[in-house]
Amino acid sequence: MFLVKVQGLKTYFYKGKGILSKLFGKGLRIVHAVDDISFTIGKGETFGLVGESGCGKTTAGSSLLRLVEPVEGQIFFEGKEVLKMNEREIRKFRQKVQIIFQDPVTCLDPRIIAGEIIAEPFRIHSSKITKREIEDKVIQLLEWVNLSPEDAYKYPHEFSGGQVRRIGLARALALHPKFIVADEPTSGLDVSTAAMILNLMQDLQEKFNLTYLWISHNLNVVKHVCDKIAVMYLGKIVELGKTQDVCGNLLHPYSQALFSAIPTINFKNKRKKIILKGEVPSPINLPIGCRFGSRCKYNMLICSQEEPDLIDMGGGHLVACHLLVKR
Amino acid sequence: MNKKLLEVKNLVVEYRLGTKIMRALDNISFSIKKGEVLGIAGESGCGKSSLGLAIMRLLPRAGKISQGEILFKERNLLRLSETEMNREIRGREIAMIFQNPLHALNPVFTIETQMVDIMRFNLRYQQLNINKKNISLKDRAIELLRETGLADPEERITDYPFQFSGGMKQRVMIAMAFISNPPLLIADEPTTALDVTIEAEILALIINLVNKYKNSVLYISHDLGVISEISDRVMIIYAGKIVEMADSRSLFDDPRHPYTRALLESLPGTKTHKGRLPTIPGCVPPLDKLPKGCSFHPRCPFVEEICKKSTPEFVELAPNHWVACLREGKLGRRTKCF
Repeated sequence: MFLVKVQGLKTYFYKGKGILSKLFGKGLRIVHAVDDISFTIGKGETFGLVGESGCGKTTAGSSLLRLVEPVEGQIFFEGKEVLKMNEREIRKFRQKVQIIFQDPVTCLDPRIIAGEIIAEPFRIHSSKITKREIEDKVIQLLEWVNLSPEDAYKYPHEFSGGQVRRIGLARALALHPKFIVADEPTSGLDVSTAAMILNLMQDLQEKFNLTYLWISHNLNVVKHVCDKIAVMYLGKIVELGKTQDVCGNLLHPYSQALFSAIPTINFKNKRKKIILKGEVPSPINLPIGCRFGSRCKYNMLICSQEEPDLIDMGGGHLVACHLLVKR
Repeated sequence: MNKKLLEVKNLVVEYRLGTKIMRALDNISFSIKKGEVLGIAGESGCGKSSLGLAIMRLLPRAGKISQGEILFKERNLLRLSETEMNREIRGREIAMIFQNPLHALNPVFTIETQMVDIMRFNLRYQQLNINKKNISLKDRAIELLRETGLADPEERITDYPFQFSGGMKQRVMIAMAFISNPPLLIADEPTTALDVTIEAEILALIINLVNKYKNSVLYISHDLGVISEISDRVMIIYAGKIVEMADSRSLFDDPRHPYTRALLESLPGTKTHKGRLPTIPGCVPPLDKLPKGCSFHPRCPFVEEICKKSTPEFVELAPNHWVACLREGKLGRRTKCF
């Protein structure tokens, strides 16, 4: 059974709607942040979304929660269509779905103590709850993320990087969500702190049967925690499949380059790095044909004419590349 | 080849905060040979960046080098005046690449202005290029940018820093650092803010330049993967002290200090899928409250009574493999985790 199903999701941003652009005649430009992606996430699964910065991972994550309104597509959560929900249903939906934002410090109010930050979801979503009950719940949440009850009276700046993440996690857990979008939960942390957060998130997943959408550019982390991986490039998914299938048998030239670039400490396993030429094209003026074509070493004629579709290479391992189409 | 380019002896750096004095670096000694890449790794707050800044004598006002010597080409940098540092060392003999290229470039000047300015006032550059007087400085700047792999440098050189992406800015920084072809390059986390693919490019670029010009590099990073990719020799720092120093290969294959082991084991991607990662309990102690004895002892899984009392000496356990641990050699070989 799947918990989340995304079909043909498109999220665009419009640049040049303002008065100045109209005056100077720049016209409307469309940023294709997420351009037609589809995937499903099963209950209790961890789904990894990887790619370089600017490929649309974060936008995809926030579109799922309707923090950004998609322009097209369907999102199903527990069988209900999220994009057709009204205000009231959305509030209910957001109790079950939470997000941990990328930058933990900027998403915590610096003038509110940690206990209040964690108590906020209760104030917003459940009206019939006493002060006493909230207090108990906050203490329990702090325990779950391995912080002590005294930490409730500290301000965000008094915590270390790892502790701030724990507070973000406690706040996300407050209303017993079923699905958490974790946007770069370990970036900027030292290795041993990152390992602690990873362990904690896996423990919580087991304890509460959580489902994660894990957005990260750290491929080692994604390889370690995720059941399924989707590689994104310029708003599109280029490769998708079970972690073992994808990591064991990388098929798309972009995924090959991306995974070969991971720095490794293992001397026996040092792979030859595939160095990509050029830069990611602009998501405003998309190239015709395959989006990776201009940087791909296997570039063929068809690549600059037609955009490849995602094709199943067996066992749910989807790849979008003309190289792999049997002719 | 075996001549020491840089030698740091018993360096102590202290920060003064109100009445508190904190030792950021405690008795650091090491040397770098010509053409060698020395990697420095450790958790945040262990003093990696202070070391880079101390060598350039760019420590913030609160920081002071209270002891030690920094010998560069047998000249003590600590005895030079500020003018001499500016004229002869900084950007000439030793160049530095910073973590955030956006903060290191001037936002109101074009790349061309910034590069040409350096060339005009850089004596070392002028000495090196005496026979190229007939080529304009701009053309030479373009040449340097091309060497770092910047796409169409003729066009881009008139751009302002904000018009470049993160990876491109870092390339510009590297091109600037290489203007005078400095014998020593200090790179302080130059790829931390970049994507893996760009990171691989920048690392390849630095390695190429090093192979070509035989520069030495002091590479500071918290990412052990990157350190192992680029370094010939590695130094691990914890709470201001060197805890282990060895050739890259022997350090990563056979780490001897418990801290190094713990760091390597906590890296994801080396163990089995979804398994629990070993972590280091606690965190780096604040510099004004360093524990007695070995500063790692409160977090060390192999701690014994003696570790709490006496400070370990830095000893050569195997040829060129130095470790500061009282229980060195008694830990047994590490069980391979990958």
